[in-house]
Amino acid sequence: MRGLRAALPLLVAFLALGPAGCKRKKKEQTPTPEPAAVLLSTVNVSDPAGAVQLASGFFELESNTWRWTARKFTVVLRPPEGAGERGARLELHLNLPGVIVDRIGPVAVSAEIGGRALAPERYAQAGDYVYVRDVDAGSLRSSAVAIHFSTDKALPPGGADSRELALIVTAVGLAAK
Amino acid sequence: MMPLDGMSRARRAAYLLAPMLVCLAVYWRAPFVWFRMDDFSWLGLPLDAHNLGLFHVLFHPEGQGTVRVLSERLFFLVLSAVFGLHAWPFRAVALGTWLADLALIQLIGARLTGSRAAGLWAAVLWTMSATLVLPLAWASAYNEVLCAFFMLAAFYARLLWLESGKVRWRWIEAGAYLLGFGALELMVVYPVLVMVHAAVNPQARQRWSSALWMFVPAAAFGLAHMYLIPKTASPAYQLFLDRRLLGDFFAYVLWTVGPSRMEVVDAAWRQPGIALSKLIAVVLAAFALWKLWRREFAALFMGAWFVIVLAPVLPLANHLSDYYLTVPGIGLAWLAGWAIVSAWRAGWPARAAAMLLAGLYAAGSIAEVDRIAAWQMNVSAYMRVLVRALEDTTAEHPGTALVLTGVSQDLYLAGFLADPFRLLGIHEVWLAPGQDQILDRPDLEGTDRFRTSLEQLAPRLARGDIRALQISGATVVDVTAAYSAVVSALYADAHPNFVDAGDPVYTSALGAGWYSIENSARWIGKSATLDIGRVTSPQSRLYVTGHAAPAAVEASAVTLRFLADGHEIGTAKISQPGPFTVDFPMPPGSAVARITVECSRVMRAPGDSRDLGMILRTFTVR
Repeated sequence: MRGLRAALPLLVAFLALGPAGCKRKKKEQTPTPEPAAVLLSTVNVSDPAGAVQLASGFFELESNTWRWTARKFTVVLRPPEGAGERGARLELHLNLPGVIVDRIGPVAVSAEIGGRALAPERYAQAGDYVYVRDVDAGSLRSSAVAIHFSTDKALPPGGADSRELALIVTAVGLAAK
Repeated sequence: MMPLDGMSRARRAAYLLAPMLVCLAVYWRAPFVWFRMDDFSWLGLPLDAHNLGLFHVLFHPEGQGTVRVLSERLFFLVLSAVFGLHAWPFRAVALGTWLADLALIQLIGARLTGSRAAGLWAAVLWTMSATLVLPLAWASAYNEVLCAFFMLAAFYARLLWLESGKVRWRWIEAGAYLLGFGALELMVVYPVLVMVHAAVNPQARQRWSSALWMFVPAAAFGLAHMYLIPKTASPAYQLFLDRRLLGDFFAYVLWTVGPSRMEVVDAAWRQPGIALSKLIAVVLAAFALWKLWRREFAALFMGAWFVIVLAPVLPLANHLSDYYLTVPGIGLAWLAGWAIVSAWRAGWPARAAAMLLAGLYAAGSIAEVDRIAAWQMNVSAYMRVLVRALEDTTAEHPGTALVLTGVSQDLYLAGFLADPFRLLGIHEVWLAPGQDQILDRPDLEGTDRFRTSLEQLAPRLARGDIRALQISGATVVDVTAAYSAVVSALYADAHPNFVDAGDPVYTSALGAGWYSIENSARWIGKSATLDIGRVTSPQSRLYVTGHAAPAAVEASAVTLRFLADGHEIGTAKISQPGPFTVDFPMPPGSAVARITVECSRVMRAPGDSRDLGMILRTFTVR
């Protein structure tokens, strides 16, 4: 899949430039190549290729694997093929650390896409979870969508850490249905 | 006694080279440390000289209200003008000066104690101190190294004059003393040191009045500094003359005499390191008292050197800095060297204790140096990678503005405040909105100047005025295309009820059927689609603006059919050339509506093979 993704811009460029080579002096025949094609549908937070899509609320990569998030965090994803017609499945791979549960109790995670709120999920025990929600096609017709996550509470800044800490996230993505 | 008298050339060289080799072994990382923090301000001196003139650059007070002509102004001006953004010449000069300092520490120590070995030990012990990492690995702290040189050179010349009576040594002392004011304000204490030396040394006491003239330049410099140079308002340089002085003094003592900051190596070693430092401090104090009891008052001079040279910076309670110990610490180093030699001569138990303490000091100090220097090297290396990437970017895109993502706290603190970007001719640099780990930190200074907004970024990114760089450790990648798409999506998300098809910011909202932007609008072909947010009002309407080209409506009117989520919401007959606005009721539905525009017919313009339907610009739901 990664290879196909990498080849896509080249293919688009070839298709765009090919006719121009054959028919000189003719203007562009197709709409502007889609810049969002360079974006990923699923971002592993340790993957530098997707780091630019972690738009806000993500802290520095730790142990080359995961990142703390603030109470609100936003990611920009490219909807997978056909998501504009069939919708897609949003998956947030998270870990609720014991330190969070011990100090602030259960945490509810929710998300919002294009003004539409997705149902929250409450996590009471420390551990690994995947927050999964179906996203309707109407919210995924753009070439890139901003997805806003939030938790109902977070560990406030204090002590040696000046950050507001909510979740540990390893990956977030939109999967085709 | 002349320290090197009677030594063969080889032994003399070995004697002087030994501490230097220890220094180079301990500080092997220093030549590889790049610039950071204040360095970038000073590296701009050639630019300032061009813009403001040489006199301003050399003598205008900067930073915390200082005018260090030799150790900062000329040091940076000359080296950066000749070598540009290469750090190794700065390190070479700093290390070279420090090696000269070590030779002077040896020679003076040998004269003060009457023991070559004591001088050697003093230089070896002091060059292993972790307090020297900054002076040797940070160009902005070179003033400490150069001040040490002038102070030691002046004092050594004085000792030679006292010993030989040759007047040239007095001239050399005077020259070194006066030049020292160009290195660091600390030089004002030199006449006091000379007076204390005169008090404890009978030979010097006979000529104590020879140093009186030195108080004149010291007083003049002090008064000029006090009244002519504006003071900084920074709390870091506020003076506190209260009980904190004593606590800070003991903190400085522990930093000087032992590895009291072992937490940089391992948190578990913190307490053992402090305990060892306290033990060494007690042993040194006992040794000094024993020497005084034996009426060997050189020990008093060594202790006084530490106190007197430290005194000017001791009231800076908010700016406790280990590099302030570069010159004062030499006094305790002489004392420690003397103590080791005395212990060696006192028999096996004292010899073993001294070697044990010296060994523990060396082990701890070297470990501290290693960790602190490694950190300096890493952080400055990240800064070097970033600056080199910026050089490449500006070479490829002259005049570009920059937005940076992935900036870590360490990288930010490594130099952003000192504006390294102006050195490359870059005047607009921002951290990407959402870099909360930096921008939302109240404890970090100067973040406001790197703050921007989606509204400011989006149009300029779309126009290609800005390059986006992503920093990941030591890797810097141009992510302009991806970041433009991200900003476009965020912008559309923040402005869901409006799409300007003629603004590249909204590209992500456009679907199929749109041609590229011409004159702030786009042609569509037979049909085109876009996504736009709904509003909750049941009376909401869709407003569309466009422009009918004369050729498009010349033959007959064009009928535009509008659909929302596949359902027709209205049609508009465009028959007159020029701008037009049409509006239709928006039916309720999902948060984002897919708008489709269909043209009743298309045309071809001469020399243009495109099927052209209509020129459309803005879509608003309200």
